[in-house]
Amino acid sequence: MKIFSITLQNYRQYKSVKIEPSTDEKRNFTVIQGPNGAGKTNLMNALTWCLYGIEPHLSSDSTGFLRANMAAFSDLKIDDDLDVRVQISLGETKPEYIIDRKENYVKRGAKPENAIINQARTILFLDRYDWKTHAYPTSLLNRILPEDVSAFFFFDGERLDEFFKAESREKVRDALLDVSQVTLLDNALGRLDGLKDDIRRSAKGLSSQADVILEKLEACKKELGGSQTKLRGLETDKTETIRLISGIDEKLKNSPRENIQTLQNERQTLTQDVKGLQDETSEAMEDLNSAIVRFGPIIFAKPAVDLAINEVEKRYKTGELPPKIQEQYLNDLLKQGKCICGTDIASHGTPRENVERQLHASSFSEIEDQIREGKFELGEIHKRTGDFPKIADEIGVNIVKNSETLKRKGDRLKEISEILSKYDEEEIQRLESDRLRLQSQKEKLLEEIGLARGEVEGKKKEFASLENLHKNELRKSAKHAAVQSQVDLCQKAIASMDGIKTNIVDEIRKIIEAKTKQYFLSLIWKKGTFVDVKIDESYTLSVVHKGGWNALGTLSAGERQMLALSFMAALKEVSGFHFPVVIDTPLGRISREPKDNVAESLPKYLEGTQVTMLMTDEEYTESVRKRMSPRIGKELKLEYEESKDQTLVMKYAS
Amino acid sequence: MSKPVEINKMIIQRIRDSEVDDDVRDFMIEVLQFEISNPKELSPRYKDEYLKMLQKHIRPEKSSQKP
Repeated sequence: MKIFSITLQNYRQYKSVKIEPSTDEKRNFTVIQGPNGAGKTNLMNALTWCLYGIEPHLSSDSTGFLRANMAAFSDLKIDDDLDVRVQISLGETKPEYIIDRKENYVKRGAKPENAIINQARTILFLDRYDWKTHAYPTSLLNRILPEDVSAFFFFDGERLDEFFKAESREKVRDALLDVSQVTLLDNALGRLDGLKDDIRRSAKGLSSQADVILEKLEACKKELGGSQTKLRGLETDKTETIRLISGIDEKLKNSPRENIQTLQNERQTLTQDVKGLQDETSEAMEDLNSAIVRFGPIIFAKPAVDLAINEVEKRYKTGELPPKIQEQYLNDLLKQGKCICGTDIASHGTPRENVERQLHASSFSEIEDQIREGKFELGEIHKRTGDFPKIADEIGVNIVKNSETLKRKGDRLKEISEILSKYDEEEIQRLESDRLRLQSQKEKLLEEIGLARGEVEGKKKEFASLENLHKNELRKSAKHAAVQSQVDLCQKAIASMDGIKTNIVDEIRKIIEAKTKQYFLSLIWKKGTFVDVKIDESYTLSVVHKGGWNALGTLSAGERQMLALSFMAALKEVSGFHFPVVIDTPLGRISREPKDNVAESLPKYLEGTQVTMLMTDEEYTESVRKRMSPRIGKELKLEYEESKDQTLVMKYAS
Repeated sequence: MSKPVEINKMIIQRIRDSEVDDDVRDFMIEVLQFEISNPKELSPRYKDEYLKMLQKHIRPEKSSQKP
């Protein structure tokens, strides 16, 4: 899918502009260069506004302004109107869709805020030779350019740096879920659950006992939903609190006082370490729990296993095992000199040799094999019980070691907070006291999240047990059993789909992990400093330093931007969507030499994808231009005319 | 087209490969095919469609199963 044209009319500083990016397969890059304030970011906003009605790239000080071009609005007479319009033409090899969003302003006074605004969006599609209005524009857009994954195709390079700054785990998880498009399964799961409830309700009035349980079941489901909403709310609050703390940390880090910066840097490293240690400790606790579950039954059976082994060995020593019955019987035949069939075997010859061979073979009889196997199995079980103390010890040692380090680092963090809070500067003191407040808020939230999780788990168990009771009740009569069969089929489908969803997300996580690693390690200029990029099962992303530690918290802004670019490229590739990619300030945070490296390598990962890069002159240097030139299909330049409050799009000239 | 047919195909294939009873598998596939081919705007009608699909895949012996 490519953008064939973007037409802007009275949209912010664009009075009347049409941009046609390159649609060439090989020269798939379009560069739009412009100084700060020329309207690069507003081009991104025009795209997302037209498609989804949102302007996520708007700076906070511009949010209050009208979308309408102010010069054009000022020229209007009272009661005159003005259209703000953005049209995007999209398609694979030729325009197939036109997305058209229009906002109509009627001037009611000198102040723009009194204007009356009406908005509409239509999507036209090419039906052979005619353009027709699509009946389901939202569904169509969800199929061709869904909003929930659009952030991985239209993004601001400078803000990417923030992606891996704070609480990236939630962001990575959300990105993976969005890109996995498991919404299809989610829709089906939600509807199956609703259907299951309806079927249960249809059995109301058939048995008083079942009705009582059903009432409890519905109440429990409502409570479970409430607990889950509460948990989600707490998780959102936690993410926001962490974001605020990170913002304060950044301000303190940039403080002019050298010692404050040093302490702030130390605190950031310590906080990162503490988080890592806390995660490791909870993983170790989980390992210990699963070891207990795994070894529990074997340990319980250990005395019986030991007794069995002793008995078998004793019988081997006394010759009771392996059984000699068959051997004894054949010996008796040889001694008697007469086979069971009556053949004379007293003298040497083939018949006697046959029996002797049988005698030899009998020592490997089936019974003996079974005994050997049994003895071996008993030995293995015995050995496995021996593994437990070693495993438990190892995990225990790690937990103790982590707790000690955690305490030491925690004490130092408190110490730093105390030192920083004693500084005279009003601003630093204010930031520090805000930080302390947010930190304690975060701790409280973590505690509440723990409790809320417990509550959700408890409710889930209660719900499952009530479902079981209801099922047993319905099974008591044939009529009810038919209802239960339908509920059972729904339940089985829900369980199976849920499992498939988990597997798919997990598989996609692994693919994205491998691709992010591949791209990041080739983009980064410090070859050999970082050796791995991991996204674990809890969606924690880590960049492994050659020393073995997670270096994510210590990456520079440029390195973080490269990591985010790699992650985005991986998401784009895995999603299966062939979107056009638009990146604002892609090289903004990256310094000279690495910039050249990215300019050369990035096009390789975006082969066949239409890419539009909005760059400043500092980004689009001669060197970058030279490296990208084989892939550039079009170069444009933005020029802002302040007197007319408008931006013009011109052909680029170096 | 830009839709993620690969992932939809992957989901359907996983269902085909899943170790569940035939009736559950066929029911799931039909449900997902319904979800793929019907726009969200048609969702108010989903309940009747889902019920029809469910009843189609219930094994007769299961419906008359006695405790």
